[in-house]
Amino acid sequence: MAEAASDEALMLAYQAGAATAFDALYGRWRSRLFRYLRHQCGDAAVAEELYQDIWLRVIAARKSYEVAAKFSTWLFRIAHNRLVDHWRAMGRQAQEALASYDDHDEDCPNGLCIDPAASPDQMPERLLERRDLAERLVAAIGALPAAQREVFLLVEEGEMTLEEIANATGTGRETVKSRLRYALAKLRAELKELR
Amino acid sequence: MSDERDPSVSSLYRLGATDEPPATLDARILAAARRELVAVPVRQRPAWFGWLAPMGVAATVVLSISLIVVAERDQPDLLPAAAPVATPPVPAVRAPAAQAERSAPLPTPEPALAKKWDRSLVLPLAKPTAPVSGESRMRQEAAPAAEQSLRAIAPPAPAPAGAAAAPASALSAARPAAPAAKLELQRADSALRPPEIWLEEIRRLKNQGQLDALREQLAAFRRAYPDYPLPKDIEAYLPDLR
Repeated sequence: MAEAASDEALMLAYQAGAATAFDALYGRWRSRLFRYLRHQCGDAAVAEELYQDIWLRVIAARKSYEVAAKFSTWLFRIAHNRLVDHWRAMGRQAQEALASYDDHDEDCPNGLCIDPAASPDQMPERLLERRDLAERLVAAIGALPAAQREVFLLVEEGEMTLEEIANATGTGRETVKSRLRYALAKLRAELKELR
Repeated sequence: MSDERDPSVSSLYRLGATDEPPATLDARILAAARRELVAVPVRQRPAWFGWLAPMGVAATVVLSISLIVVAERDQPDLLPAAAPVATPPVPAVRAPAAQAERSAPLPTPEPALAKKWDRSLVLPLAKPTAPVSGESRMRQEAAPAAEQSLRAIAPPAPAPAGAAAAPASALSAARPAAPAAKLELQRADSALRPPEIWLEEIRRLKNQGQLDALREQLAAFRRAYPDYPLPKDIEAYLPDLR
């Protein structure tokens, strides 16, 4: 019964006192949120710390929760803000990570940009080892600028639309779209080199 | 879902991204969620909760009115005791400016009649000869001010220099026709208000049609000031004492 309910209904049920509703909600988003943080931070220990902190914020916001957006948008907005706080607290590394959020469509750091209009048909048709390729891809995701990586992760893990990502991160839809295209282009280029 | 998603990249990502939060972390978070429910339960407010504030106000009003009614019934002299404070003072206590304003349109006594009246009767008789009440004391304190205002509006009466300084007892003794009781009554009445003010009050009673009160006051006035000349419009209401 709880699995059939929407995320928002589960959160409202938890607000009303149903602990099992939170269990179901947590089960839906635990892996996705953790991977988002894990790839964004690069450090497993930091990711776990942030992960716990984000869920505790969700729990603390139980009384004041209102369905103003999708639960995933709300959850990843909390995660995004917590990440920004974390980077600001880190100092030098934070400057690098935060600077990537100022990138515009014209940005092409590290000379990794390729033509965004490159067709997926240019992807390697045959991969020698799919798993090895997947590991390389994950490493390439880690090498993306933080803003582009975040958009990619929110699409993959949060299953969010461009509008929802823009809402969660406080940016414009076109900026989100541009970041995603650059991220995908870099990842495709990385995969192409592995062929 | 975003249309910009690349299926091939997504499938590879799914294959490579296998991170999971530790079980200990899961247990910690789920325990915190349950503790939150125990610590801060969100209770559904009953339907009558919205009426709580209006009912409280209504109960306060009813209680206040009940207390007033009970207090008035048990101790009825409490509220009347405060009445003299709220009632306007008697005319003699009025401020000189107000008296002057109200006295201005009145016709001044005819000079010939005013000359016949000995004004020196007013001030000496205003002195109290016995312990007086608070109200009488207020009137006595206001009498000099009223007299001063009367001097401003009334023509100066040519009185003998010696009579103005003569004591009241001597002047009263010079009037052999007045019995002692009448003299005391005259002192008491004249201590209340000067004749001009009194006549003004009497004239107001006449204008209001309160003839009984007019006659009563006029008789008292005549007792207090038997020699004071009455204006013609008021004199007509004094048939018995003429």
